Amino acid sequence: MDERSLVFVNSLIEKTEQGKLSWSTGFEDGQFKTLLPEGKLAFVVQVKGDVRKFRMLDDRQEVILENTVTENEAQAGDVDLLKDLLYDAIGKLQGMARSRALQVNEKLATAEKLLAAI
Amino acid sequence: MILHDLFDWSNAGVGGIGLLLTIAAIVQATGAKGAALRAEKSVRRHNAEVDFASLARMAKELHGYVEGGKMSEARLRTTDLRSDLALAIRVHEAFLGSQFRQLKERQVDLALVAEGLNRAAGVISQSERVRLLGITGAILDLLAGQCGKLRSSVEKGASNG
Repeated sequence: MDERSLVFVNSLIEKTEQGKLSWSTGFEDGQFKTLLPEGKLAFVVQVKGDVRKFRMLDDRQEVILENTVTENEAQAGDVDLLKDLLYDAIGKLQGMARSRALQVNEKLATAEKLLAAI
Repeated sequence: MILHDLFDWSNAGVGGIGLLLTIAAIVQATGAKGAALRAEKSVRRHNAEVDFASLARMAKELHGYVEGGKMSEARLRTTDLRSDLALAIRVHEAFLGSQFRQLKERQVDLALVAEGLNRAAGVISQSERVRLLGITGAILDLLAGQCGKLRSSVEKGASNG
């Protein structure tokens, strides 16, 4: 399951970098979601404290794939390298999703312009 | 064919009239079938409007509970709305047009809200409360808008028919 999740997370990172996916905020703190065309699948990524979570939902919002990795599990990377890789990948994806959902870059640029104009 | 006498001419006349009557019957039957299909579509559209009006009422209640901080009621209403919305989307997909994707996105929101409220047992952070108000408000707007669209098209259909 970890391996499949890692493949999906890396694929989502790639598509997000290419600007092909739009992300929006979820409900819980640190939670973001994206829907594939026609709403057939949704991906939810969340970072809350030292817990990182990745989920894939089908068109009935049933959980198809779910992975939760804690910092402790990731630090025991000698035992399970996949958990360590997944922990980092989820963190990276969540950072990108947050940036897209909250339009961080656009807002920072606006803030710079406004400050410069003062 | 060459018509020789009055008998031939009368036969041809009767045949021609028969053909015209057959064509008229076919035209009438086609028209009746079209009218029946239009009536069926109109009934289905009306049913969709009734279902979405009920969903909009449910969403309004949910939004009210969230505004009033009644999280336990909000949790129950979220579950009701989730299941009814899933059914309505499945049954009335043909009438949803461009709103389909937005409704699917709101379904995901409701799933995340239901899960989050169940886990938190009514205790949520301030930022989660703000997001929840945004989500329930957006769902209410979307469902009320969809209901309005359906009502307008039902009325247009009634005035045309």
